[in-house]
Amino acid sequence: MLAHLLLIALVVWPAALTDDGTLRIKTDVADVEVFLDGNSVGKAPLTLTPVAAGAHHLTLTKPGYVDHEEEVQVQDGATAKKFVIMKALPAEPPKLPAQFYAIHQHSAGTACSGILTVTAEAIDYRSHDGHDVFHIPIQQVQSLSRSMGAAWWTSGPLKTPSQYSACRLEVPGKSYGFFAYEEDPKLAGTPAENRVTKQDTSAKTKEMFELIYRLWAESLEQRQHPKQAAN
Amino acid sequence: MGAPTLRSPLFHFIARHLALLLVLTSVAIPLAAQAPPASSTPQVVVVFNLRSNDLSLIDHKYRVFYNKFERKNLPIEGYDLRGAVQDEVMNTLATDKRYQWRVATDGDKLDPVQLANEKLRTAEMLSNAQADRVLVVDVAEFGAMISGLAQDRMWIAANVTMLDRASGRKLWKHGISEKIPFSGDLQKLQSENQKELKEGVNSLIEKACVKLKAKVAESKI
Repeated sequence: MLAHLLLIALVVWPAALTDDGTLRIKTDVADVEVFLDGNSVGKAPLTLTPVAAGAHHLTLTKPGYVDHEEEVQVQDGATAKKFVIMKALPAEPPKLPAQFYAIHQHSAGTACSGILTVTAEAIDYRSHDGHDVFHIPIQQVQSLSRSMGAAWWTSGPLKTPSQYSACRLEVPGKSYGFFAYEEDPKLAGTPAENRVTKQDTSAKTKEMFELIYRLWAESLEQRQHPKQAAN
Repeated sequence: MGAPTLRSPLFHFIARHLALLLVLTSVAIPLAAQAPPASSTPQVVVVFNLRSNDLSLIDHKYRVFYNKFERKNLPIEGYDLRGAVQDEVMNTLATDKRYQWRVATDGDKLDPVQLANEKLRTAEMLSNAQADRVLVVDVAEFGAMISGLAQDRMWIAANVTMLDRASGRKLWKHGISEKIPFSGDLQKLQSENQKELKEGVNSLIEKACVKLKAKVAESKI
């Protein structure tokens, strides 16, 4: 019995001498390089094992993002998990004002086409016939989302509704649905649905959505953290 | 009669242990020889299908005589959702040693969209996969519900299906859904680098993978 215990002790002893744990590192964006105590250990997401128990200096880097540095504690026999949200460096400001040919959907199921102008402060729309005009201060926007849905017309180039995406914008008591398209100068003067191509609509709407989204997110940031935004 | 041999207690101690080691080795070697070779472990190729990279946001607005639901798609800016799901699932599956798991490559020629759809799936679609089984991880939805009456929450819904490569037969299928409480401030969802939203999605993926591990463990090979 004593011999068995001694044998087990002989086997277990070396393992007991080392205090190791595991470190799991994840980030929101891909291709983030991970440095542990100054040494490159790979790209996130990754699992490092064995890692000596104790404090370690973790650095995460990616071009276009602020370096993330922190101290992590690894405990013996345990897995320390880190999920890091990388902060993007300020991107080049968009060129404003930006103008888009846009289709504005009405709640009654009809639509009109016109010019949508985006500035840092507001979104302005004016239909070609001048009957439909609206002004939306970006600070009033409550919600901004994109949707895939049926077009208001059932014939023409946008017959396949699943291929078409729209931008939806909500302000107190009202919502707007619109998408942007590439105007073909040869078709000027013809009905709006004839001047739209499926591919151009998706690309232009995405471009418009991303611009408004960015301006809106910046305005939210300023309202929530006025001092940080000023810096 | 010769003089008795004098041996020290240390000699007896070492001799006894050497004998014990010999006995243990003689038992261990045949046992190791009987262990199945690594190649007999079924190989599973894992294919991922993410139906959308956007978060489905359901805004539940209470009215006196009716409830109004609005569904919106919110982009999760910069989040490598596919990479996050793939990494967490593969880490989880690696703990199940009954199989050898790997992510599908171009050489396997597996179409995740068609494989996730039972009506479109055929045995021929698996014919190029270099494995014994194909596991289809179909993430149906990442969602959040913001409600004036109930607690706000986020959820994930996925289907996991194990297919036999040779016959194309479905061996088992599990629906996995998880939810977590969530602070439903819509503005926070879209500002501050979407920190709260991304942390919520990460928690959901981790929680769903705990359930996935249990479901796979209880499934037959």
